[in-house]
Amino acid sequence: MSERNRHRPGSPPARRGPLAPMAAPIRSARLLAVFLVLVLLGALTVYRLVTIQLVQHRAYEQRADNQYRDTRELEPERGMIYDRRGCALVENLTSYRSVGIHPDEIVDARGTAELLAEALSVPAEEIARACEKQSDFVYLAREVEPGTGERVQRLNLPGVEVLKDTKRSYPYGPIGGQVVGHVTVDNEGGAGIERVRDHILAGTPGWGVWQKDARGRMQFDPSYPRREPVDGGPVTLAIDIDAQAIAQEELAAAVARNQAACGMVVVTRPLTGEILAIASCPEYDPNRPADAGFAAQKNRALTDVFEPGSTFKIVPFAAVLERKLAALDEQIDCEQGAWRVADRVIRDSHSHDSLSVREGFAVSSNILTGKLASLMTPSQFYTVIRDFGFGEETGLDFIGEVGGLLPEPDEWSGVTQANLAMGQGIAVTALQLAIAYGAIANGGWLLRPLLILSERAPGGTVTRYTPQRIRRVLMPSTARVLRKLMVEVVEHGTGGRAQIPGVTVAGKTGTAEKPDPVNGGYMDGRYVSSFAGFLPAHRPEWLVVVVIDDPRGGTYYGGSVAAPVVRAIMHRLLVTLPRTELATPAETGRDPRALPGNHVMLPSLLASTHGEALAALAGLELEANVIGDGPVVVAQSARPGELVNAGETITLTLGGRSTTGDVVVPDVRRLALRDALAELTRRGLQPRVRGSGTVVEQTPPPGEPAAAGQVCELVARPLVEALR
Amino acid sequence: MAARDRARKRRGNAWTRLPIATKLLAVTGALTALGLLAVYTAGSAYSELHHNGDPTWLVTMQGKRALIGIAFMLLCMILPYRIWKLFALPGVVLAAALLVLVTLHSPLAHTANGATRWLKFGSIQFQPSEFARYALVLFIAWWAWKKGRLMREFTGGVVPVLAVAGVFAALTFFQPDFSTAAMLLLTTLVLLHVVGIRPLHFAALSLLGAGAGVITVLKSDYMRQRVLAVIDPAGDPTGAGYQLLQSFISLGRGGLIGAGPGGSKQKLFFLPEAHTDFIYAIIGEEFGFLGTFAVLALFIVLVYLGLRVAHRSPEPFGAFLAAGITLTVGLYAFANMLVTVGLLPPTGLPLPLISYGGTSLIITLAALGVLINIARATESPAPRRPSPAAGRAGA
Repeated sequence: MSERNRHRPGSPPARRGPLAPMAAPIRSARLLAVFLVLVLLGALTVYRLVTIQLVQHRAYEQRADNQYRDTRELEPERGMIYDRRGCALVENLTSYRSVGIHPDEIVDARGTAELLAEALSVPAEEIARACEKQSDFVYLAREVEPGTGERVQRLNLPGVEVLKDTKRSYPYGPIGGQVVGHVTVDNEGGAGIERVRDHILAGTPGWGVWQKDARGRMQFDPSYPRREPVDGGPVTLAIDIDAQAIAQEELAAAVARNQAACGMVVVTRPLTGEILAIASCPEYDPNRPADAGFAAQKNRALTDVFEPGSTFKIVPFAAVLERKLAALDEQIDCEQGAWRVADRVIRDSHSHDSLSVREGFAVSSNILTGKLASLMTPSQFYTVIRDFGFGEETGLDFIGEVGGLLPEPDEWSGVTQANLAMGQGIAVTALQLAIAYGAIANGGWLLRPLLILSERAPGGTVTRYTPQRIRRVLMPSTARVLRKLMVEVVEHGTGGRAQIPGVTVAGKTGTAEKPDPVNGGYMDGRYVSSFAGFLPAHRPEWLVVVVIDDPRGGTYYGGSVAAPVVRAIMHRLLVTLPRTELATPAETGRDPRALPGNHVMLPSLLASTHGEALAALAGLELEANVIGDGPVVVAQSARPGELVNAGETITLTLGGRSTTGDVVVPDVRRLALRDALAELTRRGLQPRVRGSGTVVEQTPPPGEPAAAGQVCELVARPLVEALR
Repeated sequence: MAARDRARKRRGNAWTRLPIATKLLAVTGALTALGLLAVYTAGSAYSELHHNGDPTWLVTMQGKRALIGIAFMLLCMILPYRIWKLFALPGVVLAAALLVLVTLHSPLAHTANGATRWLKFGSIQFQPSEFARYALVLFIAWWAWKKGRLMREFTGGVVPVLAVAGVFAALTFFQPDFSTAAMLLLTTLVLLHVVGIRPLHFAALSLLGAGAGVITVLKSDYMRQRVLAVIDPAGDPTGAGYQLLQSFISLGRGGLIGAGPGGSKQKLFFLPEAHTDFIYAIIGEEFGFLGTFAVLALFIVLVYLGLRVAHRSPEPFGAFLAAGITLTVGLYAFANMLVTVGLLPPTGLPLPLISYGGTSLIITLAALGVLINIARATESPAPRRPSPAAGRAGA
């Protein structure tokens, strides 16, 4: 009311002139109110700041840390697979084969597109379009030519990523392919040893914590926690890649020559049970598993069964001679080639009036073998067959191995025993045949087949596998007699085509009719030809079993189809492989564990540490002579698997990372810190790091010679700064 | 002990004895310098990503603008503030024209982040709403000075101001830039209160404004979400609440003393708009509570000094203009800080003198130059060093 009274309209400038009374134009109360409101807002802000920054500091810090970190798996390197002599049967290839971009990180779209277009032979417009995409990652090219990825990597363009692939490669291709197997696209064991020993080969993934920004770009920070991956351990096989190659070549040639459906081969060392070669034909290349059918990937020598026919006759002969149910020179009536058993007639290919046991084996008489078997009760005969390892798996621990078919005695009819004696009505694998003949060769021991000589669990200790006896099936004397019978087969009987001049070969042929799976009975003109042999007969070094399934090249007898293959393989082995026992005179017929002359089988010490190798040698009562310098054994004077005299001195060569100097400092600048550390460590240099992220400086400079263990100083910066 | 006390007292006296103009200059300088530091650290990663890997691009840009702004400020410090009376009407017309150019999407208009808020003349970008803020302040100061007591009348005094502010706000609202429109109206309202409209009018307008604001927010899903995000930022950490949550993480991570200059990790694209709207959070991350409190204190001091100039100015135009400049800077500053600490919904308001942005920096520095000139004019011959400008203004 009073204010309105004081209101006097007039010219404001005149009234506000310098001569006007100096009254404040703005009322203090109003300014104060405005100021207090702002101070109140300030106080509220301070209250919130205290709450967030001081009271909840820890909680937000934790939250922040969580979002800056990203845990990623670190892939271990897959373990190697070696043959008995240390030849690498696999390779781990690292390649940069896929190129992609993170569109939102591209700095210069046009420049990037032009450079990439040139390197990848992709139209620049296409790349430019990809740079515009609203996507975190766009593939530009996959499976690029080798070298292209590396070239793109060197361009070092922001937002462009070259993805690292690790690819398992098999340098020997189909040689040993069915043993080694292959890995799946995820680098996991898919077949063969790769699958069976995946737990050894795969290794243990590690993890690392990376610093990341909100766009998901990673930076390595050495202060963040990290567990290194443990690389997969190596597996050393008993396989000799040369023997494997020879066996596969000869088998493939024989299968082709005989127009056969397939073939199988097993080469072992009968004294130890080691498998030197095992394969079936057709074969497959593990580098391209998709190209081969599943049938070719299988190792039929242990996954598929066949009726062995006469090669099986060694079992009834062994049983009768061991039990002394018949003498070698005893004459047996051979019924003029046709012997009636129950409601069936058993025939010989050539009719005989009577034959001695010895002759009966050489000519492979069905009637004589059946009569020998009938000297035993069914359960006795059944037990013998079981003892020789038929009807159950060999204990090899390999994928897909089968135990074969052996009817129980209570399922036998009147003719079954005679049929079984000549290898009919029983299904066996080539491997079973090999270990059964191995018992004849080594003096009576059924041995567990040995495919893996040693392996090292990831980050763990080395396990060595030594020859393992399953049971004694024959007295050494009986075994010796059987070997003589087998020599006669080769020298005078059906196995003549297995003869090798200058070496005594022992063997047994087999020609079996193929059972008809549809109509029962046997198919006309369809055979399985087989031959089991070893040499030298007096002290068998190698044993070879060859099975040719369904030969249609005119001849089908084991002696003419399979025996020449065994001969060829043995002949080439003689030329190629080292022989330890050929020079040893007369056989001793001793237990293979107490190997002749107190021999021991040398394990593979490759890739063992110095200490492990010494311990292993000491355990075998061998002396060690160590040369070279390094963390692991890279060479040994006697080959793995070789039989050496107890007390002998083995020279071990140490190597691996050089500790003797002459290292050249690599250029690790512009590498991610993690990669730089790995590179330096690999060269035996000791990195010392300042900062994190990408390496921007290094001392000594690249190319300088340095002593091993020398300190290499790195200065790293976060990527954002290092890019400058 | 006694000697130290005396020394402390002397220092205190030295600051107290300083002319307000000098204090304003010091506070402005401190905020601008802090701003450049903050733009450098908060914007380095963004700069590197978008400007050919050069982390200093943004700060170089902002530095150049700061130099231009300082030149304008010096000019405005020298120019007698009364001269601005001449620009009040042309300023309103020019601002309205520029806003029309933007809002009607003329060929000069430039769009970013889904909103058309800029004009582009060749390589120079310009945000008309920033200019309109000060044009409006100048207009109100001029109008209130011209009308004097007539401001107490609704139709003759208040309505023309409301009309101008309404046109500006409407043009801004449709860019769309709701927050700037709201700030224009809020500044107008507070300023009307300061220049002396009747409390009843002020109360009515406040209620009307608040009501309009609430209705606008409720009618827009986008704005409603942003308001909800303030109430429960964790409820939707990837959506509307994400930005706020990241702001809290930045502040919280800083603690008392902060991660040190350049120590921000939130700027690595976790916190959106780290170098513009949310730069206060990065200051909190790198300099801790001490940093955020210091910035807040500097703004309080700036507002206090500015309002003192308004209070002391014997001449209404100067007083109104001083109050207007102070309030527009102060309200923006507090709005920005309140957003950062989660007391207001996320808006697009810069922190004056600190956030990256050329128009805002240059025009704020120029406006503060005018404020300093008013201060110098007000402080009739300073005790020891008479200022020629002040002498002229007082004569």
